[in-house]
Amino acid sequence: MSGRRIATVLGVAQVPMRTRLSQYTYADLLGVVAARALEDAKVDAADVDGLILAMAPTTTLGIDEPHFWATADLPGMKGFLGRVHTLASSGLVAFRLACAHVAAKRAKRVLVVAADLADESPDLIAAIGMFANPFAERHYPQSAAAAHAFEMTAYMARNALTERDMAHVIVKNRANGIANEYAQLRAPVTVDEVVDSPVLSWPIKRADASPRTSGAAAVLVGPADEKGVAATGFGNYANHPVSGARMVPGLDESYFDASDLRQAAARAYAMAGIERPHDEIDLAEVYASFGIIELLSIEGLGLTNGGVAARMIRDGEFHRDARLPVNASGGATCGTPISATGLIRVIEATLQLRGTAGARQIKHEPRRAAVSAIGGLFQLQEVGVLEA
Amino acid sequence: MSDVQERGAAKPARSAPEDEFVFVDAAWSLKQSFRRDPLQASFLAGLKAKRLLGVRDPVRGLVMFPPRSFAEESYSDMSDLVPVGPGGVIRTLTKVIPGGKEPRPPFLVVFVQLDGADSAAAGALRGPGSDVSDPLSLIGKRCRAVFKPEPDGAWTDFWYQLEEGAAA
Repeated sequence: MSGRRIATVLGVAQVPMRTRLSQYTYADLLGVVAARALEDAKVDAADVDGLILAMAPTTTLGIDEPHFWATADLPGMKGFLGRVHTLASSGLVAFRLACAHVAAKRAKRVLVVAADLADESPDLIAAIGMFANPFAERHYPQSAAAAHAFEMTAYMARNALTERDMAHVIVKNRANGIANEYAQLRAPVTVDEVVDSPVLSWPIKRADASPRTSGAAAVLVGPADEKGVAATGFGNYANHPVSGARMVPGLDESYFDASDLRQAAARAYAMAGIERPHDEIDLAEVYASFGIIELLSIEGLGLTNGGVAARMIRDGEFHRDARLPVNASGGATCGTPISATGLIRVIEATLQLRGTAGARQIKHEPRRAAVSAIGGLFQLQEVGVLEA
Repeated sequence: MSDVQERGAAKPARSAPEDEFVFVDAAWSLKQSFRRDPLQASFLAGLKAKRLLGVRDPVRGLVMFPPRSFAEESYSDMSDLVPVGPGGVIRTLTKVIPGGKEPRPPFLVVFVQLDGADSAAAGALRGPGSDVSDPLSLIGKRCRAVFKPEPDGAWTDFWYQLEEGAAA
């Protein structure tokens, strides 16, 4: 059974992710992926009537608020301009909004663009620290590694898992990344190499984490009745900004058990007509800048049928040759330009559903994909469903 | 754009020497002042008196620690300060490896749900049992807030310590 088509993915484009893309300015990057997405769609720039820029945080760019200075003459700019600023979920949120504009007939074709240049600031940790409440949260170390270490220790304790058990998701993703010509990290790692890599904030190690990434992506969205991969469901959910309020048994444990993502997924699945996600979804591309996020996302998306994701990956589930591959592209742990990473999940799922993913193509002719992204410290959850 | 025909290709759209761009060193430096939560003064005065204060949500009946003056969950003002702790339960933790040039020993940061509170708050875990080889074994253990002898009215006035018997 297929869901009702909301909008169509007409064209996609990305550039190879690298630590440093020395040949581009930020505006160059947006222009390159915009042109490529339109070429992929075989659509003229004059026929695009809306533009949405996904970009956050801006504090890592040399110049603030790029929608003022980097979008001039991009396709759709003269129709309307939107900006999404929800960190790593920005790209997927922008895609949802583009689909909503098209479905509401507010616009016929909307272009979503996103880019990051990681080499314009070495101070990502300091930028992330600026999000924290100065009264309630800045008295303890603020970093993405520490924030996700709090999730990882709780997950390990609850499921009696070792650091070696937790390393298998990284080993899987890095093996997948070898076949993805756009991935930043394209070398395999072993369980030993993950476990022995330098500790950032125990139990998070260097190899558990994504690299700093420069990259860009664009997606052109059009009407539901056009040919191509379609969006058939969306769901999102936002929770309390104070992480400690989401760690309480019997009240709200969403920081540990992905129950917020489960809520977002339930909304997306209801829209797409999905009742048994582990049976009805053929692949998933989930944003996970740390291995623990992927494990919680797999469970939150209902892909395990009650199993523990870490053990299932260790035992061969969710690999590219499994029935339900997760992050066949290598995922965000092989490269994650923060603003674009949610959009890259859409692109990778689209390529798989088209059957044009090249060396990383899933063999079983997937028809339906789930995509997800998270903004902030497990706070803003975003889920989409795409169908061939 | 000449590279458009390379759609899908993984090579860069433009080839350029590594040094094409000159980077200009810059840093943001902005003066800022932000509004303090109205309950912060009472909370910090409580710390100076070696008391931990939460606030009760009048709609849900839940006690939030640290206190804040508005509950986003129930859209209600909060002003009913109530004592919490000093005992509590460790909900999660991480071992922090300090950076910087001067080597410093790792230390544990724990999120503790204090007795009487319906949220957890972070702080350092010190004292006997805090240097265990298996930190995961500390999750779920009882601990208590311990104040320094002369508190200043700051978050650094207290830390957590395992309750007697909990370290075993």
